[in-house]
Amino acid sequence: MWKTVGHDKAVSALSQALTDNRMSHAFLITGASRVGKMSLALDMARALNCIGDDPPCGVCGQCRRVTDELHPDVRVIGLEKDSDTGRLRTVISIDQVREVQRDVSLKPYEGKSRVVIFDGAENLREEAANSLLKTLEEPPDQVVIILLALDAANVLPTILSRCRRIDLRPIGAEIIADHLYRLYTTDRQLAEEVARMSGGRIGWAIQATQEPEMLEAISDRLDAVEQTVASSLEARFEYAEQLARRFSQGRAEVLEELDLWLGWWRDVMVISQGKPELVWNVSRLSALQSTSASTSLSQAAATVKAVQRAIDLLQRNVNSRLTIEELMLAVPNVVISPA
Amino acid sequence: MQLSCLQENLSRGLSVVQRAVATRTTLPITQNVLLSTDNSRLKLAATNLEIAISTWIGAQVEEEGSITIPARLLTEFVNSLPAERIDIAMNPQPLGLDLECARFEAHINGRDADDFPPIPTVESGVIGKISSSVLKDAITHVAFAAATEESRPVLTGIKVDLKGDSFTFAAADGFRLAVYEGKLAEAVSEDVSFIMPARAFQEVNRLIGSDDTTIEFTVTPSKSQALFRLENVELVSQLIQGAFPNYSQLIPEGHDTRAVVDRTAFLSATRTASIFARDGSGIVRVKVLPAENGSSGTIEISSRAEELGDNEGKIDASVEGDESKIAFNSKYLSEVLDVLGSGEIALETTTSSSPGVIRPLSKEGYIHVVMPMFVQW
Repeated sequence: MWKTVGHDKAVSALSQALTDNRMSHAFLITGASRVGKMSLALDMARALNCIGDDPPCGVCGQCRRVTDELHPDVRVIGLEKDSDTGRLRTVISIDQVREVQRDVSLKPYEGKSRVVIFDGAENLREEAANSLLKTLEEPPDQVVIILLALDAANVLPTILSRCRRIDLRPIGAEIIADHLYRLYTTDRQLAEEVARMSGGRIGWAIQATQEPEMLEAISDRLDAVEQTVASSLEARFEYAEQLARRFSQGRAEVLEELDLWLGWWRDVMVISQGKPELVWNVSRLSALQSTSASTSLSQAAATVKAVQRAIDLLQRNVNSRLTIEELMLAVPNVVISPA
Repeated sequence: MQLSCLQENLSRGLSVVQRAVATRTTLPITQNVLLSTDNSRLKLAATNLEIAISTWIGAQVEEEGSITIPARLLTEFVNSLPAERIDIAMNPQPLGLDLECARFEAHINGRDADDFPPIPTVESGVIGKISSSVLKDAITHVAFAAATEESRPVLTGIKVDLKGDSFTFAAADGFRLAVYEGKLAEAVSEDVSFIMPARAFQEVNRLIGSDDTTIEFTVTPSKSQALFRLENVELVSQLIQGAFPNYSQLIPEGHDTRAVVDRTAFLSATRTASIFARDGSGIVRVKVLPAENGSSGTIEISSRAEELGDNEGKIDASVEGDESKIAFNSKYLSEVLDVLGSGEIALETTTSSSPGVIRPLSKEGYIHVVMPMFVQW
């Protein structure tokens, strides 16, 4: 059984390709973070190696080894920790690609296919990407390479043209809520709230359901967003400085926080359009409503764009403090009336 | 699992499998060693997913079982123990091994043996036999010429062709080529060609003892793995996929100059020259001069280091053909001379821009081709 939830179209196409024995050897799966790219890639790894009746059966030895991250022929390549500083590197290096090339030149160790998953293809350093081209074009027999990326626009065109594309859209809130209620929680209301907050990103929803402290942390951060939105420029710049400092210590966390900014302003837009039922941050409805009352739709849209731009610039290593300060200048002044 | 064995045996067994323990952390469990009882012996096995080595040691088995244990920890602990009997017992909770030897005891946490990548078993395929001394000689003469960097994986392997009762090993790294032809102890059941990682062959070489024995090997029908069976040790290597370059066309068909020299003298002159070559991109120049009015032929080996100085050495040679000049990378020249045994070797050249060929006179089946370096003479 395919474990991927909510991407039926992609799953049925892959499953058909597998049955007809015309599987591609290079894939690019794109979609928002935590939307299910890795789950789909692991499903493909199971399907390609499954020895059960209905691949991926999920229960045969091969499927289980993939699930338990013990399969010698299934490798995930992502950002590595720098052995000197202990911090996560920001690029996938050419050495990592060379190691993969060495691996794929050997026949599979125990399975039917070697599956190499590049988690974050946009992080491939240019020279690493270039050295991967030949392998992508003509991988040895029994090798499937799967690249995962947030946005195809950040992947080199030479790589894009060599891959079969699978684009994963955000999943409907009802599907996520049902899945959470079925497997992860008995609290229907929590399931629905988390499903809405997830913005269609099921991986995030599952984690949030399992870790209540994550929801608390988000709530704290949303408080910070609301406070900053309603505060003076001075306070906003203080916030920017603090965010920039945290960015130098760990990028992911700050990018997540900016995602919350994005979601919050998206909600403002949604309310301005008269669709409060589509709001993600349901618990923040009153603050969102008063914000939308004091800003125009175009202001909200411009802010969403500004946040997106800031995220993009940060990922391209633009000075983090300047970028966030610029964003703070772009955020309109809002009066949030107490709930 | 419960058994006892001798510290020396366990230590020796661990040192055999140690070389197959993974150093990379791609799959953390591959840094473990698999211990399992096999009739009245203890089987130790390790794999880095490219090479898997298994070995068996004598043990008194009380209870069957298997487990995996971090290899380095176990090896270091066992090596530090006195040469006495070790009692080993598996502890289910927390899963691990209890070891007792003399007045030392330890508990080492382990993981379920089922989590360990299966050690490949090669049941059927092309079977052949080769004398261990022949195999050792062939590996020594060829493996060093294989590429070490991984941009072209096929070149990190040794191309093996088995035909009837003869075999050919070949390795090349783009700058040199080594080809060794020899005889198997017994004809193969079917002609076969494959590319085996040079690293794996070097491990086989290391495992071959000083006694001359016969080694049995099996290549799977899909040519995905090759197994070498030595005394109490089995090594299985994954084979490299891909097409090995057609190397026969790289071997020059003829030569204009042929110089026969004593290998040891040539090697020591090359080493001397390489001292100066270190700073000059490793270039040594070889000038072959035919015999002239009474004096014997000579080879002049020289090198120079910009601003530091230069040197020149001469050795006697019996030269046929014209005078010739050729420059080599000193590393390539000394590496091949290094593996050749004592005796005479022939250096065959045509022009200073075409490859040089080195053949030991005592070993007909071996040929080594080195690309020249381009220099101003």
